[in-house]
Amino acid sequence: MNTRCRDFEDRLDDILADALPSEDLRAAGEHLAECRRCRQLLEVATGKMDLLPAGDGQSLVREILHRTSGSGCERVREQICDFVDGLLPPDGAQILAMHIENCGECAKLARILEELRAALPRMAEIDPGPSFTGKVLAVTGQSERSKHERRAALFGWWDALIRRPRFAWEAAYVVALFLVLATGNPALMSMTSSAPLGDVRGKTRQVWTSATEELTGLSTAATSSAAEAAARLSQRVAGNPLQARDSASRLWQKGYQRAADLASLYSAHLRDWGARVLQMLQDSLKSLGLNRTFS
Amino acid sequence: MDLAMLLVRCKTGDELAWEALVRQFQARVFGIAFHYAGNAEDARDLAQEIFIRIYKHLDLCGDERMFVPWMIRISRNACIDHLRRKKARPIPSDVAVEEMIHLQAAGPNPEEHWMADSRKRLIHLAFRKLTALNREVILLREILGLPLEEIASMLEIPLGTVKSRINRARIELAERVRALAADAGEPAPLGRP
Repeated sequence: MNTRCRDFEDRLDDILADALPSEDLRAAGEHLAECRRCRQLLEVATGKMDLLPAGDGQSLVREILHRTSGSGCERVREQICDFVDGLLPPDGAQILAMHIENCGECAKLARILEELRAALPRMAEIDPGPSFTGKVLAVTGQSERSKHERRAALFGWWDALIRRPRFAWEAAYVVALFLVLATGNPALMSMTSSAPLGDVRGKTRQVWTSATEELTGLSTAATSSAAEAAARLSQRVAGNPLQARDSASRLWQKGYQRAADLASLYSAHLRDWGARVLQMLQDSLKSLGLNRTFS
Repeated sequence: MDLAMLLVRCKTGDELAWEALVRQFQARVFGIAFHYAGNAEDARDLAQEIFIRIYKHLDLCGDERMFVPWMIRISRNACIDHLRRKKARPIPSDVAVEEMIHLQAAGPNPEEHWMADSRKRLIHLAFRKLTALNREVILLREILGLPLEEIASMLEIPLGTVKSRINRARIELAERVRALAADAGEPAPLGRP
C-alpha cells in the first residue's frame, strides 16, 4: 500500500458520491487500472462484491450466536407448535420463520409437524368392520334382557313370598326378633351377679346411677340459681326499669358463662364415666380370659 | 342424523335409535380403543365393552353437546381398566406391536386396510413409541380434538401443564416419525421440501 492507495482511500467517499473534481477522478481511474487492491475495495464499497465467500455467512451467524445468546433452536422448539398452528403474533412468527428458513433441522421439524397436524385427526375413526354393529347390538340386547330377567325374578320371588299363608306369622317372628335384639335381651336381665357378665352389668348400673344423680344435682343447682336470678330481676324491674335493663344484660352474661361452665363440666364428667365403664369392661373380660382393650 | 333426537329416542328405549347411534359412533369408539390397546383384537372387545357402558349409563349423559366428551371419557375409563387388567398378564412390547402391524398390513380386515397406508403405519408406530402420558395427550387433543379444558379436567392436571405437555408430545412424535422414516430408508417420509 503506497501513498497513491492512501489518496484513493481518502477520496473514496467523494468518488461514491460523484463529487470528485474531474482531474482527481482521472488520477483515481489511472490508479485503479494499476492497483488490484483498490479495485476490489471499490467493488466492495459499491456492493458488487461480497466480503464473505458463499456459505460462510451461516457459519458466521452460528459463531456469533454461539459466542452471544447461544443457538436459537431450543427457543424455536418452545414455539414451533404455535408457529405451525398459526397462533404466534405476526412479528414473532416472522422472527421464527427467519430462523426456520436458515436452519435445516428446525425446517424438517416444522414440515413434519405440519404434516402431523393434518394426518392425526384422520386417525380418529377406524372402521371396525361390518360385523361389529351386530355384535354390539347382541351384547347390549343381552345385557338389557338379563336386567329385565333379574328384575322379573325378584318380583316373582317377592310375589310368591307374600302369598304364602304363613307369611304373616313369619313376618311377626322377624319383627319380634328384631325388637328383642334392638331393645335388650330379657334373659340377660335375669342373670345373677355371680357371673362375670352380671358383675359388669351391676357395676355399669352403679356408674350410671351415680352419673345420673350427679347430673341431676348439677341441673337442679343451675335451675334454682336461674330462678333466684329471675326473681331478683323482676323486683328490680318493678323498682327502676332503666337499672333493670343493665341488670338483665349482666344476668344474661352471667347465665351464659354459667351454662358454658356447666357444659364443660358435663362433658368432663361424661368422659370420666365413660373411661370407668370401659375399664370395668376390660377388667371383666380379662377375668373371662379375653384380653381386649377399648379406647 | 340429528344427535339430540337420537339421544332422546335412545333414552326412551328405542332399539332402532340405539342401533343408529352405534353405527354413527362405532368407528370413533373403535379408533379410541385401538389407539389405547395397540391391537385390533383387544380393541374390538374393548369397543364392545365401551358400548355396553354407554348403553347402561346413557341416562347420565346430558344434552347432545356433552355426548362426545362424555363418550370419550367413558371410553378412556374402560381402556384404562382394560390396561390395568392386562398388567397382570404379559404386555406386548413395542417390537411385538410393530411386528403385528407389519403382519396386519397384508390382511384384508378394515383396520388392516387402514394400516396398509404406509404413512399412517409410520405415524402409528411412532405414536406407539411415545410415553403413556404423551400418547394420551396426543390422542385426546390431536386425534380426538378435545378442548384443552376438557383434557385438563380428564387428566386432573392444570391447563397450562396440558398445553406445554401437548407441545412436547407433538415434538417428540415428530422426531420419532423422522427417526423411523430414516430407519426405513424413506428420504422424506412426511416432509415435502
